[in-house]
Amino acid sequence: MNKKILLILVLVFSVFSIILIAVWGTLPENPSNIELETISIEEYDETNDDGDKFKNVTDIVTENDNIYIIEYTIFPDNANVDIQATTTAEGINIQVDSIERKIYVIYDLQSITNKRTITIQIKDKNTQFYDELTLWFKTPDVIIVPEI
Amino acid sequence: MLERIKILTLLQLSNKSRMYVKGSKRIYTHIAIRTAIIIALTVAVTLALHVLKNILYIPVNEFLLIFLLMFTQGLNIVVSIVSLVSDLYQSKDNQILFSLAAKNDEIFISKILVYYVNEFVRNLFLLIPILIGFGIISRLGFLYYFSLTFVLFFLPVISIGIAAFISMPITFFLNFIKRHNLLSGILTLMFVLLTFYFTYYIVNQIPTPIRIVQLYNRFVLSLSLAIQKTVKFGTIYTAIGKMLFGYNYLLNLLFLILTVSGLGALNYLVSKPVYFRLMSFSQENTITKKIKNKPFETRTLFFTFFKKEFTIARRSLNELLNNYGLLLTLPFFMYILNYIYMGMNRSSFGNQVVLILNVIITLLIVTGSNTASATAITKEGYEFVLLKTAPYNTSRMAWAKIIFNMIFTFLMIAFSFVLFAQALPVFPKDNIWLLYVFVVIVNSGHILWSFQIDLLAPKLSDYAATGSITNNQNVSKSLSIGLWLSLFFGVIAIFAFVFAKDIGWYIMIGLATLFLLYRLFTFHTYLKAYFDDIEY
Repeated sequence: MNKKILLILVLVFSVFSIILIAVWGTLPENPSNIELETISIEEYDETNDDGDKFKNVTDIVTENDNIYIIEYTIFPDNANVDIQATTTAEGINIQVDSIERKIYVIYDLQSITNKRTITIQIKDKNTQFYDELTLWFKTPDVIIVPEI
Repeated sequence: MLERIKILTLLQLSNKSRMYVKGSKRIYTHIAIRTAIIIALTVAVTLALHVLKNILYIPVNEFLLIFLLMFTQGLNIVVSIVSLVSDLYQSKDNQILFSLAAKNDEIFISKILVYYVNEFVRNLFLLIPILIGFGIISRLGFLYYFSLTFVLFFLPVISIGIAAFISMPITFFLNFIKRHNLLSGILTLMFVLLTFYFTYYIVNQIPTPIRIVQLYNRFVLSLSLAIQKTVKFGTIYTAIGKMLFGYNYLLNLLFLILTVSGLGALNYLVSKPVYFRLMSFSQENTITKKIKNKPFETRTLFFTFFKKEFTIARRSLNELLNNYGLLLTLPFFMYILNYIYMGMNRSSFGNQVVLILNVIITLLIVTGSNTASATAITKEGYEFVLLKTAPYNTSRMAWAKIIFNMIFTFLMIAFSFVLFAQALPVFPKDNIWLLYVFVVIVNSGHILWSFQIDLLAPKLSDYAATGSITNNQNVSKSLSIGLWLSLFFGVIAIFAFVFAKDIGWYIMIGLATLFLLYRLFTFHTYLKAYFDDIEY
């Protein structure tokens, strides 16, 4: 037995103490059962004819700042939601902050250098309502062609 | 010059490394074992990265690699600063090396080279697993693995270059505060207060009410964002990371070579005029004292010993920190844990569990800080024989040591509880101060018990021979007893706070007082019976 082992014991015991109180020492949760009506991404630059939302991230996402933050809103504000964010693009990691209602899109270096265009879908798993935003590195004189 | 540096380096390397007879097969066993360890570590790191990527969903990309480089090399720099301050300026071999026919800067370079060789070998166990693990997970190509070979040589140069440069002002500062003990004490106190304030600020960022699952998600999110954002400040490590991934390869490689050359030149030019002066002022026999204070005479033998304890504490702050350092963590543990406990929507049972856990955790930390008593007689070493020749009742020395330990720990515990009460006003004040009284009583009993262990089996000759208390059995026993005491009073607290709520604190403080009285009686009896029989 030495002080290092004792300190580790204190740390382990501290973690267990938090779990112990969280499991047996807390009052039951009182979740609201109010159902979601809409989920929406408000900040975008333009839409195409199909209504798809586009956001130009040139100069926002750079090799020194590889995170883009998407803010979303829900209605009603106190609806019971379980938010999930997905993308099919490679090299992109998505983190959801359901308290601040923000989606963090984390690019890798290759996606930035290749100026990869990605689409993020935000979906409530309870109601399956969703909204989408396409992030792209817009080059001058590019026109969005609607899908036929 | 180069020949002298080579001889000096080999001289020190042979002194500090394990040597094998030429042609011995043991060297192959040595290499094989270390290679196996590196391979095992590489597998472990690869699995850990896989867990990060696919289970915790933390992005495993170039930015994570740069962060890992910054983190590991940052730690290396801190460790290297501490080691280099000791190796370059305070090492005992300086007295021999400086008597040889070599210049100051040659000795400096040779010492840096010796440190580089050791650091390079140590780094292999850290960098190879991380970098290869990353390469496997990210499916990187030939250029990555090719670049690794020279990155492995350059990274220790950078960390040692930075550490060697920083070690110069740090040594100057250490030499300064070594001669100003009051300033050293004030700085330590300020450091603890600032760290506590910083902890207070960080912990207050946790939104309440706390829900563990959300807290976990928030933690993972914050960790991911912090990792990704830290890269902006990575300077040379950002360049190395980008180079490894083939981004602006030649430009980043040039930056790396320039940085390494620049650090080398900077260290050489700055150390040349200051190294000898810094080294000579770092030796323990440096004479600077000019004013001789008149010795202070005490009236009683007890106060003579008591004053001696203060003098020892003042002169050896490192030892004081070693003995009581764990106690400094008490306010941090108390505040962070109770902030989380209070942040949860607790039931009445939850409130009782909070009290029980506070009893256990506080006692664990506090009783872990009585090692000074568990080695009180041992640390007298050879001098104990001389001490006992004095024509007085020298057993009073034991009480002086105990009172010093008690006063110091009580003050530290009080300081922790005051900080705790101020920082967390939602915690019931009555419980805070009743817990303080309880902890102080149990701790007093534990101090007496720890001293008794050393009284019955002091390791005087061991300490006289080695000057170290590492692996001291009395320390081990004291810590083990502290652990069992914490668990014992934890079990008592379950009965007191769950089944006898109204008289819970009476039971706890009553039992603690009984424990203290029993320890006081046995200690007094053993002291009278055995102190005179202690032999070297």
